[in-house]
Amino acid sequence: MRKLIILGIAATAMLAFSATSWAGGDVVHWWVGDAESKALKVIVDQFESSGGKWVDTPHNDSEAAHASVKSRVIGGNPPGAVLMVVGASTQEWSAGGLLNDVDAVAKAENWDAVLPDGVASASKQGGKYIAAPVFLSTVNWRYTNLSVLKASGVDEPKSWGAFMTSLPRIQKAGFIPLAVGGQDWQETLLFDHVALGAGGPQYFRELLDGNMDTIDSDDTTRVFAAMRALAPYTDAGKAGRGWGDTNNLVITGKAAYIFMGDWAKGGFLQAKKSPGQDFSCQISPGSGMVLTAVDGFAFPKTSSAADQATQGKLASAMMNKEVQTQAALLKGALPARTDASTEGFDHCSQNALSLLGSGSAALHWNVRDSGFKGVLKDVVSQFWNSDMSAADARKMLVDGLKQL
Amino acid sequence: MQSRSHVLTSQLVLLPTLVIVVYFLWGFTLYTGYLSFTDSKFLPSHNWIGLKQYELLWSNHRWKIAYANMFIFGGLYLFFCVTVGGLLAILLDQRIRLESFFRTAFLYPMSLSLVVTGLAWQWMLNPTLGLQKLAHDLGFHGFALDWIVSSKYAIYTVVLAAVWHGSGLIMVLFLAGLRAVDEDIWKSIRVEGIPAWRAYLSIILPQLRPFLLAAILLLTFNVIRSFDLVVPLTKRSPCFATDVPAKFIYDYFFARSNIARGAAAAVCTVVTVLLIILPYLYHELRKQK
Repeated sequence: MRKLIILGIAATAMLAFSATSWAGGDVVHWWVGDAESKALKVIVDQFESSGGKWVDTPHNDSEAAHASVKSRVIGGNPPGAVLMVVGASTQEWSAGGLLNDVDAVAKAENWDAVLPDGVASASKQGGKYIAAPVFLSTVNWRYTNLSVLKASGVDEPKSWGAFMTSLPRIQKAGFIPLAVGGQDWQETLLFDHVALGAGGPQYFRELLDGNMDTIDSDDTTRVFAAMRALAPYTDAGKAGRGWGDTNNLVITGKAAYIFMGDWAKGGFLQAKKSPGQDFSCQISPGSGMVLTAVDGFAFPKTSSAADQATQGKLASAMMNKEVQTQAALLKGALPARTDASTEGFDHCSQNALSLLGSGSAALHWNVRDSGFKGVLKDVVSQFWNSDMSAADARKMLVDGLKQL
Repeated sequence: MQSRSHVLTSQLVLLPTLVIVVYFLWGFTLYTGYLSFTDSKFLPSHNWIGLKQYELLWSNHRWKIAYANMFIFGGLYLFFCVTVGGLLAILLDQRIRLESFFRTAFLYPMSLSLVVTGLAWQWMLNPTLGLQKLAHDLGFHGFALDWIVSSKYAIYTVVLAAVWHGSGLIMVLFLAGLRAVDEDIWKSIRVEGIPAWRAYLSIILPQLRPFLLAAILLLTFNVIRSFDLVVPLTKRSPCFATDVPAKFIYDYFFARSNIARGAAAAVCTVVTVLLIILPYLYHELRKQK
């Protein structure tokens, strides 16, 4: 009897030790919002019509998704594909030996010819494609409620200076001039707009490149001071506010402006506001440069030939021309391929496309490495939520970047 | 013969647990310590760089906030859990009616996970939808309860939620201790005519030392792993006012891809806690012998 019990315990222990198995070839993502999941469905349909079987592993946010994929790859149980911001993070993963390349598919379908240069190089590591870019998200829009401007007697400002002078007049008319949220990424996005608008595109490029001479210059102090100058024109309820609620202030005519990425447009459209009449979209005033982040999928390391074949098929479905157009329309983003049709896109997207075409674009810091991202977020959020001086903020940014 | 095979069986049964503990607890603790001396970033590396990570860690502003928060949170949490729990236990010890109802009611928060606790308190303390809004809707417009969105006071909301969650357990622990007090002691207290408060303070509570030790050990673990309460409760609070070491470590391990810095922070946290708890433990256990 006792022997039986021990055997039973041993068997249970063995069971507990055997790894939980995941369905191989699954796709890890966090596109669980309404528009995003519709966009994903387009990719799923394309993949399944080419004979694949989509296995879905959704997560709530990118951090949790990436932490789980990392341990799954190291533990020898990789998923088929994982959603990532294409750029430094995919390259970091690839350098760490966590990714397969999909260069064979890319060569066969000639991705080089259909992707903008910046996007192509962000998707490569050592000359080989390691990611399939799906969307370009434009992150530096200023959405304006035009009826609020009219009620305040202000014309839509086209430069940073005109924007600043419009703020007190809007405030006097009883509106919140600038809707700002209270999460660190929103605050950092605000900083981006100020750095572009008040610092200029040249400054912004050098900031992104991590040029320490530029970062440790008076320009940085000026940008922080310009950000501080916005504070009196925001409302007291900003603390802790999510971006959706912040966006609603502009949609419902309580506030005049919001600085946000292209995902904010959906809220206006859902409220039946039409671009150009009720609201307008402008890239950060005075910059003439679009900032983009590339959303795409990377393909974790696996030696199984079947899984590699699945990965190739996935990559091909994600890069399909029609898929990219349809999915981008649904999500409110732009297709990564330059030859994808842009019919049906509104004037905001068309505007961004023409700037992209003219080469006046930069990849957002979001595609740069996690260390840079972290320091910038920390410093900006701390500066904005305290009475720190602009000079101290610059010093803190420089020190933080040196410590990476 | 019988007892010997009993011993063998129990040793066999415990063996897997022992192996797991040694490997996963001690093994990984040592590995973390080792990693904190390397330049590991995204993946572990074996490039030894000495104390550099610690130097950088202690010049990191965010880490200093997180480290200080551990003391603010830990100190207040321990103090209030023990006093509130102790007071509740003494009140329940008065042989009141409906005792089991109150005992369950006060212990109930313990059955909620910390994540749920954090979320519920986040809703209650959120100025735009919680208690403050309720007071305003009822006409008390001067009422302000916006600690959770203030970078100075947000950490105290964490203490509040944690004490609510934890004091029930301490109450039960102390109640068990109070019930174990010899009836004869109470009889002599009554004979001597000592007032109740004096009896508790000078006679009864000193006998509860072992229970206090257990309570403090249990609560200290909660201080170190306070991550799951802090994240849902103050995710939206200004910058990193409520960072605790566990959150800092998680961020550096995963979001920041800086394994070595996170490992250095983990080592500092464990060493700090050990430096505080070991002398206390030594002192108490020696006395009990």
